[in-house]
Amino acid sequence: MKSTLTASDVLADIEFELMQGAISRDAFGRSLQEVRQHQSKVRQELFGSGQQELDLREALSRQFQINDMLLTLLQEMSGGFSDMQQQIEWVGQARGGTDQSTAARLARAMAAPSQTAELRPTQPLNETSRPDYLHQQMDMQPNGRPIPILNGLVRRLRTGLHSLVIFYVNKLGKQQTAVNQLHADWLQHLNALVRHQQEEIQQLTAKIAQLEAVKE
Amino acid sequence: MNTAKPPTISIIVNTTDRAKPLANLLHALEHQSYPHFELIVVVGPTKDETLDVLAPYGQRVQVLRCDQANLSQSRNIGLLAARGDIVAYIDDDAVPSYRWLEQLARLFGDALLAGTGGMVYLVHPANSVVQHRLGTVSSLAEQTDTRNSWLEQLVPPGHGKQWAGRMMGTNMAYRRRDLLEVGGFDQFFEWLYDDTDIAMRLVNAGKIIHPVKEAVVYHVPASSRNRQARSFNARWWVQTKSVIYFALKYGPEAGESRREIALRCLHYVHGHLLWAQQLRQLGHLTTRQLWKMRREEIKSAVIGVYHGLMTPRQTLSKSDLSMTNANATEIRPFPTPASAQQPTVDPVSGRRPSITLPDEPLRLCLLSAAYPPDQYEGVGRLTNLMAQGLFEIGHTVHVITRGPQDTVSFYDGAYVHKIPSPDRYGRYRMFPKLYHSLNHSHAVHEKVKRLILNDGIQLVDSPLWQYDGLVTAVSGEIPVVVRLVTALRQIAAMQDDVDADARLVGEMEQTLLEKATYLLPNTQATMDTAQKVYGIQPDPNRYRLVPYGIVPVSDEAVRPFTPHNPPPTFTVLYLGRLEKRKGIQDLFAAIPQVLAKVANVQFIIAGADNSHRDGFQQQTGLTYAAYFQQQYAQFASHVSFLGQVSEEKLNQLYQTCDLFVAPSLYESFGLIYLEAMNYGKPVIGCRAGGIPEVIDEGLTGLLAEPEAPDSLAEAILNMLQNPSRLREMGLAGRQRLLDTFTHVQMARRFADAYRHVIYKNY
Repeated sequence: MKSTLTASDVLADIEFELMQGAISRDAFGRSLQEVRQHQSKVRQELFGSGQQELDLREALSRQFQINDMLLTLLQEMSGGFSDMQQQIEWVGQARGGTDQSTAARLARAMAAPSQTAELRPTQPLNETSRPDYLHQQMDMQPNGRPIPILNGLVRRLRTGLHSLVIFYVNKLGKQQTAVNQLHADWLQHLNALVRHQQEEIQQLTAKIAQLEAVKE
Repeated sequence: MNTAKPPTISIIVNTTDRAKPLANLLHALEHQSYPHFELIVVVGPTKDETLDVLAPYGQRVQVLRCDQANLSQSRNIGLLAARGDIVAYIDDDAVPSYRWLEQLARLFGDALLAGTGGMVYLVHPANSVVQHRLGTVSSLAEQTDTRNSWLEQLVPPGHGKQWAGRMMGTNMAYRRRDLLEVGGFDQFFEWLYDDTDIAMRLVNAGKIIHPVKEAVVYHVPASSRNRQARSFNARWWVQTKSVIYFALKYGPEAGESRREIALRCLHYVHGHLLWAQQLRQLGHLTTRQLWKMRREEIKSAVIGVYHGLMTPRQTLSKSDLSMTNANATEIRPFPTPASAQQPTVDPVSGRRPSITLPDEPLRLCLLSAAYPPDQYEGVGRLTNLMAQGLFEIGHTVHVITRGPQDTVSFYDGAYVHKIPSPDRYGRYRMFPKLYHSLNHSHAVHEKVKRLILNDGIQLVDSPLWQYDGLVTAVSGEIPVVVRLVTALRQIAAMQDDVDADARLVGEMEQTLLEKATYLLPNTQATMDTAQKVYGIQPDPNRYRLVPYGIVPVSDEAVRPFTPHNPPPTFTVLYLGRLEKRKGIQDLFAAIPQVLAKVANVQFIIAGADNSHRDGFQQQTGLTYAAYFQQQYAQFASHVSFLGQVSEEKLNQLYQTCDLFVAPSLYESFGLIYLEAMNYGKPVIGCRAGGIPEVIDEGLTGLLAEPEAPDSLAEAILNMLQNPSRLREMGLAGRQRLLDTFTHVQMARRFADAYRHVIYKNY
């Protein structure tokens, strides 16, 4: 990295960071998680095994609290959109919408209808991370053109050497498969998480649209 | 949608005995980007010249009186008189950002919003902090004042079952209709918690309260009957009765148990008593004050319990509400056509430049990673001088510099925003110069965005050094002009320090030059050097020469040489970092030649030793001072090494020297020569960079050849052997400074260039 890094690499990173700053969903995701955790805790407190009798007032008060949190999330989302819109307007005014700056491109990107990121299909991942995948791909028999007279001897020698190679490849392969499996599990987990978040964002977007419709 | 009539706003200021800060606020309100507002000032039982301050504004301000020293009552009086769609409250010891009302009006574009308010920065000489940002309050009166995001502490941090957003009284706005609907402010709250109570009451009435980070207000705390600013001396017990009252009113409504409410009240009183005890132990309170605080604390608790349980809320009655301007919509606007031309105001001292501006003053943002008074170094000092000069000619200046946390202070005519630099570019950690500068540049950009939204800055001025403005220039969100100063690529080449890190930094500097909207070199030599070093070919319409300037000292401080009464020993001063680029080795080599011909000379060398950075120590194993003492031992008694000196000492050195020498191999400009000329001293520099454009050779000083000790020695001798020239050149230098190089003249040149960029819209 040291020898090949150039100004254009750094510039690309700056532009990437600028884009990230505009669309940050980390805090949103964390907050959803917090609400979930809080809800589980409340559920446990209200309906857990130690509880003899459900205090209706308490239960309702906790429910209101969770509603407040969700409303805050919605409010923040709506505020974020509004901020972004304002920024876009400002950039538009400042630059006349004609140049190719990051801001202008960002503004155009943001003005376009939002699209859900395409998730990659998980099937290839499942296939390649199976323990027998390596064996399926491996040629278990030595090959090569037959040699007259000496073919039998050469073939036996080749088979012996090949077995030795396969022994070590197997050993390495088992370790590598375990690593692959771990990676695959994580990727699938992340994939599911992203899919789930997208669904939630869609639901919340629909909710906002509903609210805006009410407002109008 | 855009054809809708813009909402009207009534600003309500409640004031008692704070004439001076109120005057600052009135000046600052002339500078609002949103013109559709009226101003109502409710004056309490004041004993100072508050009414005199208001008198010149005549019909522009609606002045009302409140006989009681009760903030909620005063707020209600303003509310009843208001005609705007929105009522915005601001304290008399605060000033709003330029786009404060514009932001509020934008937010109230959401028809469901009942109340909002923005950040409050405490502008304090010793303790600048974010005083309020996205606050919340619980049904047990637990408050959170500052959070980074709404999503931080989403799960309530306290015991209260119900939490609501709240604003600080010095920056809060409500839809007037909604505020009247809930009966305005509860007059039980004479001071503190009035803002909290109204937010909770609106939320309970089903309204939306949404504090935001925008619509910033700068709070400059002043003393009042309730508190002595910047001390612990305040009527804190007023808070106790408010908290207890609040918890008793809202606790049951939110489903809090009696036990929880009682515990909260007891804990609060107990905490206050302990705190008072600690203040006494630390010497902040006298024993008498301690006992008074204890007595009042208990009394307030009893009052809070009584009113919390036994009396109804003291909101506006139906008869009060019938007297309102509920249906009135026409306001009497505060701004006049002349408002836009008003010069800026110092929110702390209240000073305003006494000038008449032909055009609207500019709103500028200057960048400098280091800035006085924390750090005095080249770029920081220059930026400080620019800020001072721009303030003097009426412009509003914001400076962004490094700091451990997000704070704002007002220093030498500028709002100084200190910002930390979060780690964004961790992948470049192996290139420390690049890594730190990129992180800072990105943090600067985040701040610039906030300043655009809140303070309406029109332009960013970045030094090339450390390329603070790079990310903003890449973003294209605002014009970025670049002050060309000696930058790292050039220095690295001079000091043979071209590692991968320095190479990348040089490329970043070049990128900034390419992305900048406009370039401002201080001399033609600087521009030529930039073209040579960075290979840029700027369009002649994209740059302008702006020579620098400094603050002239008073005539009494000037000490020209007196030939008729010469000193027994000549004092020659060298000032600057001890490093190769500054020509220190040439001076060392010249000293023996000078002393061989004129023996009564004392050389004073002041400045930080940079031998560990410029490679000198690696070569010799010695610092510059140690090297001189070893290599030129016989002349050591004629040379004093002072190291880095204070600002005060620096001025004293300039005053007491007879000749100033700085044989730099390159200076883009050389403010140090001007500083010496300021005190009437002749100067010697080298024929390099922008130095010949500052030193008028033969008139204000002499020029030597760079890296030529003989030439330097000859110039020094030329001066010392003709003492009358010391006086003539010194006085000529001082005159040249006054004619061309003052900070105000410099600021005018910068302002002209900025205006050209802003209105030409490159």
